[in-house]
Amino acid sequence: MTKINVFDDYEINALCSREDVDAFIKRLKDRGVPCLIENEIVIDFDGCVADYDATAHLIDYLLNELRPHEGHEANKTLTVKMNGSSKKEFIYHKLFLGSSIFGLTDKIRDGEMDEWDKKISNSLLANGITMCIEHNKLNNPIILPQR
Amino acid sequence: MDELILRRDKNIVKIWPYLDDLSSFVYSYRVGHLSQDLNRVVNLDFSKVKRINSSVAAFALLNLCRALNSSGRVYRIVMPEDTAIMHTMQNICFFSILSDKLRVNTLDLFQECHINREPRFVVEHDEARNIRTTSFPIYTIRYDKNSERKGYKEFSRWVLAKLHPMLFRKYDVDVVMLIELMNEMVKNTQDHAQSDALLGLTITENLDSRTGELAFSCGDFGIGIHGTVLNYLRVNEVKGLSPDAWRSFSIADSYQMAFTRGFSTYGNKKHNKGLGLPTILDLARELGLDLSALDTQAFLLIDDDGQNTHAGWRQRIFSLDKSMGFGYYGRLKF
Repeated sequence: MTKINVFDDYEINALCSREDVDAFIKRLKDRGVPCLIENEIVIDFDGCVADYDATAHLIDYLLNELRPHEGHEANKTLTVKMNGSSKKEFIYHKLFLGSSIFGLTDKIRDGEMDEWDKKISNSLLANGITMCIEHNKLNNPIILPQR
Repeated sequence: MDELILRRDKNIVKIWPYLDDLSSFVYSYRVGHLSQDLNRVVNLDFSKVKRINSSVAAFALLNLCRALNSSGRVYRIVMPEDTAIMHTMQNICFFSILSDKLRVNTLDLFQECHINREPRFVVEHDEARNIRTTSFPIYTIRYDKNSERKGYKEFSRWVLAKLHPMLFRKYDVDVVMLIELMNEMVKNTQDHAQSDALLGLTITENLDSRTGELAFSCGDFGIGIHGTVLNYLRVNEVKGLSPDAWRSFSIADSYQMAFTRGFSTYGNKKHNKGLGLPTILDLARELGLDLSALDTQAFLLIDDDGQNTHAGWRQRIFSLDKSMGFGYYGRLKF
């Protein structure tokens, strides 16, 4: 398992733009994180101010790293530990709005939450990845793909 | 008698004494009594300011600039009699921002008025109670029409650098959520007002009990949420509304619409997703932030548990006699 604690390990207290995320990804790569043979990546945003679009860019990167590679098993897991508003819409906007993997480029409108769930779940299923979103205010994690 | 009163006051604008209190929000600075022709030099009389903090002073500053900006007058600052108050006002850059926005004369035949332009934090420590109060310099969020989110980006770096080390893991407050809320607020202000905005921030810490309170104001020179919604409805069709609905739109109607997720008056610009106001409301509620706003001729309680309905907003709106511009005021106990 690869653990990435954005603030405690990297002293990064803001990921508010794609430039911030690109700089962070460079630092991850310099440290050899994440390692291809790992089955699970845990990213913890505690203490880090993050903004939609930037966060989605980072999640895209981590999911790409977990995608099945030749010679490595599928069924990998991305665990996201986060805080902020615990509303599902807020969590989804923060993590997925602007994601190119999921193709989610516009906000969730009334009644569109199910559509987002489907898009995210289908894409994760296709790539053999499970996402586990742990929020400090929620008793149970959000598990994707939904079963 | 009327003439006598007018003559006595005609070249003075008196500043409210308590610039640490919400009451100063509803004190309107007027220019109607000022001399029109004979004397164009006006004294801004701060002499009786008795209390001040940054969060409230920023809003008073905004009101002053709004009220006095349109005239062709020259202003003279009459400094507070209380020297501690004067130093605070200088350090939080009250006078320097004022002189950026208005034509202030710092030199006349009799005296020179020094204006400090270097922002400094004002820290007061009540040793008996072990309470520390920090007034942050009033922050100007500059609007740049060629780079619309430049001011926001600068602000987000500034607020992060100041608040995060001061509060994170030191107090029982979700500083990340607080900064995200302030960022969203400033982003929203920049997108919609397309003007500079002023932010004031005060933090009180009880160093024994590790509790405290943070208060901030964020106001701009725009037309506010109600005015923005009306302008939008004048030229855009909205599903479910008749084309001339704006004619009878109340401030409660505007707020109900503005706080509906997905509604945006800002078009389909790439970075604007219509998330701003509902996100601000969600974050405020989760933080337990006491959030209110001044808009048009009203004072509104934003964070209250009331529903986003016409009736809900009507309960939370308090009418004022005069438009006070637009600004948020937030207070968070931790």
